[in-house]
Amino acid sequence: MSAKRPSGVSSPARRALPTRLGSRVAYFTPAAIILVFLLTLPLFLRTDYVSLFTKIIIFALLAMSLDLVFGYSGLWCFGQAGLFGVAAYTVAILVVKVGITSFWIVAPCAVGVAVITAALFGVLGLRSKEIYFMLITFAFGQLIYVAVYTTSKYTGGSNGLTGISYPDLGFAVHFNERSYYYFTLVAVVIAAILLYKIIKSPFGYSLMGIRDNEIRAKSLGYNTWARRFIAFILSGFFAGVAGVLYVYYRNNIAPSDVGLDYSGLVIMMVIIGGVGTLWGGVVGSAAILFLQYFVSLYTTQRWPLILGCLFIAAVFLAKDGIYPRFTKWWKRVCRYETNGGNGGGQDMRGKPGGDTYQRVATLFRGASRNDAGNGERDEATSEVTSSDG
Amino acid sequence: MAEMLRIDNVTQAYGGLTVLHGISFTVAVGEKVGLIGPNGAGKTTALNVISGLLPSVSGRVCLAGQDITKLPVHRRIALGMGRSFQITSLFPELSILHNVLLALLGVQKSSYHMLRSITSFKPVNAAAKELLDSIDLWQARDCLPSEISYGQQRRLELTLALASRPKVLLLDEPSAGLSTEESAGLGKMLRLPTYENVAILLVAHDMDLVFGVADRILVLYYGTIFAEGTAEQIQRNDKVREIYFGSEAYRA
Repeated sequence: MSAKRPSGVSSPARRALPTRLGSRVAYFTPAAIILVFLLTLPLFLRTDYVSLFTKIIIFALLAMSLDLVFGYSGLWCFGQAGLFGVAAYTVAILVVKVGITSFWIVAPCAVGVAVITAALFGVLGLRSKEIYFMLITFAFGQLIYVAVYTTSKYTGGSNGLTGISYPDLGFAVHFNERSYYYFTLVAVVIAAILLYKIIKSPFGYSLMGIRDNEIRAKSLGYNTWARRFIAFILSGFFAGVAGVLYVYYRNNIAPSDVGLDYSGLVIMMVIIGGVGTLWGGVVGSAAILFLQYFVSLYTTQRWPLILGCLFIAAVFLAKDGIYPRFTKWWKRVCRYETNGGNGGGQDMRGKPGGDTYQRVATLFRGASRNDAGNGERDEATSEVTSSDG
Repeated sequence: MAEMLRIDNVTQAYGGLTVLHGISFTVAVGEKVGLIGPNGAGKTTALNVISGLLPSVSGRVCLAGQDITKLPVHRRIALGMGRSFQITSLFPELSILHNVLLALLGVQKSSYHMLRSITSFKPVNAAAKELLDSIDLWQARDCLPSEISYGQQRRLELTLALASRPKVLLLDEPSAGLSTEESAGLGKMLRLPTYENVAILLVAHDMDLVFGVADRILVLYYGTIFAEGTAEQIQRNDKVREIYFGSEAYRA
């Protein structure tokens, strides 16, 4: 999956290039290969690998949902597994304790609970920023962990809840590892497309603006609190979807799945993959879960040790994350971008003196204040319009 | 002339240090007011109180007759205020084009769109192109703010403040770091007929700029309005010379 960094450093398609088609092909080739692989892998891989890939794409979604707040909104959330966990537990309780099995009732309820939880966290947590926000979300994550641990009447306590079979869609679908993989893949791809649309939208860019310079964003008319709050709720929604997919995948749920370990793991996926890149979460999820799988074949107890070493290595070797490293390397290999970020340098230099400012002024009357729909520019050459109208 | 901005007995303190001692003044529709004073006089604090970044300890701020003292910054901007900063304040991780797009979208409802690409809003993108063309930065639209020169960053900074077509423009040292020539160009621009109806509150150390632009000048000294008048009156005022030009002459 390939998309350029949101920082807008480059846009190959917009520049005059001798081989525009070639550059497009080069740009989308890695994404196409990965997509074809994901679509066909159940046809030639053993079921335990199919199961591993199901887990990878579920955690990829969780990591992407975290990146929306962590990378794009600058909110260092340390409780993402809590949001994921409340959705998973809601499904488990409804299916096992209440006896409602219909996927179409259970799943929306679970995602709804995750969204409400995110809203509660947001109202309380968004009073603070950065490290303090991290601490508060850390505490919220622990709160959820302790809550499911101690209310054993409903949640099964430390044993968790078992006996959640594959989702009951209401019509005859025979789920097994392979078909559930496709079910997950479809859900995750739809969610990923939505997330991608969000980060490319005016709302997504306003989040990045608020992250970069909150005072400036406020001074341009952005309600920074409301936007962060919405971002957090959206993140809770996608984390909830991941939680629903996860509990059906595991067929059971235990407190360890919603605790600090998982919150930390997801943050590591985002950091190793690349913060603020969206697809970095996919790469990080794949990298960590692959390694975990193969390490666990030899030694289960040493996994945290190896994970720690991996994290240190990633920080030293690929500071921005694997995904940005890869895209940089790929661009160099394919040469599908012109060198330098400024399109030649000379032509961007402004003429000295007052000319420039006068031209800003001529635009002032034309600049559309109104909504995108009616802000046509045809009056730019007409009379000086009064600006207080 | 109708009154656009009214600052009524505003007091502001940082901890125990009172920075503004109940200052009051008004700015009429389209009036250009210069706010000058030595370093630490409270000029930027005054702008922060007016734009809402700092809640005032006491006093009132009114915009076009409406009491905005309790409104948060973004609401004040939506009512027609624009603000530029002394220290260049851009979005460092976003391209220049996206900086301008965010400035244009700030007061619009469409900035809440989530499923449409930001580049699909045609009028906004056309406006961004024109704004960037006018400051010769269209070619550099994909650059980050750190990749353009300081003078260009200052121009971009001012463009962001102007993009939403404010009725009141609060300019904090717009000429800081500019060459004399560029500063003169800026002054000429602010006097253009285009801005006839825009009230401007200009904070600057650059006396040529202030005297060239302002209809009326307020001298702020230790948090009080020390003197008020036209450029000539201020230039002739001995006490102002003493606190302001005197110190400058001393330094030179």
